[in-house]
Amino acid sequence: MTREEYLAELESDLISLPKEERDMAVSFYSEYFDEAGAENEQAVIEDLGKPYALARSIIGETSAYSRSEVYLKYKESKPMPQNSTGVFASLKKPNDVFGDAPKDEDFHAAGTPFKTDSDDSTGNKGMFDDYYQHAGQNEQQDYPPPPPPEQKKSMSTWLIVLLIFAGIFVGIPLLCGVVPAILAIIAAFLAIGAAAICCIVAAVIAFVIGIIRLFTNAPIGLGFIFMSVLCAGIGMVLLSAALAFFFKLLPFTIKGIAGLFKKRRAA
Amino acid sequence: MVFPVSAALLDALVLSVVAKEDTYGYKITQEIREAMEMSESTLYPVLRRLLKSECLTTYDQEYLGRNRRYYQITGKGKEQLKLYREEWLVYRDKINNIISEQAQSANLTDEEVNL
Repeated sequence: MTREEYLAELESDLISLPKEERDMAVSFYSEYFDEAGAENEQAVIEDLGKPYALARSIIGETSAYSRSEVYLKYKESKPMPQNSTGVFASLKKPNDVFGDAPKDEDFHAAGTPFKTDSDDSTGNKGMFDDYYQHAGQNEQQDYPPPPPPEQKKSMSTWLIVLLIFAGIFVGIPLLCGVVPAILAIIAAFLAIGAAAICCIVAAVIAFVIGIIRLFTNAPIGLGFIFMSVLCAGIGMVLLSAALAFFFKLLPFTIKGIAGLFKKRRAA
Repeated sequence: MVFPVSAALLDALVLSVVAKEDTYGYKITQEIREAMEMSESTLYPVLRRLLKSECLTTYDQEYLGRNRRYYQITGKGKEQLKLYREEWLVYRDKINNIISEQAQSANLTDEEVNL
């Protein structure tokens, strides 16, 4: 097809437009051929696509309302909107460049202005078509819950990093403080236990001495027995405290801490 | 190009090119093609739209014995281009905040500071 044939076909395909508009379009492309040069004639024809498809894109644009006009009016009637990215984001697919342009197959194949699906030779063929079709299907339905596994994975790695940081900055001081404190408490109760045993031993000795002295010097013997009972009482109290600590409180605490860790792991 | 281009972005590009100096259709196409893959059939509808909304006007000049149609930006077109430029900066920054690697590493350091 030569340039003259192409332009003649374009003109006849634009027959539905007023003559003025038709002449404008044809002269635009005629000038375009001039500028591109005779040596690029075939390349331009190939890039423009079939005259019929080009005509459809021109007709679609001229009959569709102009986005610019609408946008200008919107701007005039309202102050700068907060969410002002709308103009650039409003496009849903490449064909929308032509507004309400007809969207039959032929037009889509040749009239799509950007090298997306039909012009793409890099192996992405149909990628965007699939995407748009998919998006179209979802318009009527609820969006499916988005579970992107990669994001989850990176989230959990960040969680691990956070935990490590927490461990370093919180855990170490905590260990430095808490472990000696626990050890000190255990040591204290061991001491209490030892004191209790000492008291009981002293009570037994005082009791024996008291009994012997009771026969030689009654008041002193009674004093020893009184001291012995006192020591025994104190010893029993201390001993029961130490025993309660080692056999009740300590296992309970350890169990509680172990349970805490178990729960966290389960969660 | 993998990202689709909206009609508004095309308007903004063409207005920017014409605002620099009066120019003609073929040259506008070539200039925009330096930034993105654009079919030669794309520009005419954009120019028509901008002419219709009086953002552009045309005048003819003879060149090598034939006619060359020059496009010139109008006051309304300059006004519109100003709006587009403001909007573009906002849009660019918002997208960049989400998409760029730099923004992502900045967000991460924020997280560490929060610790």
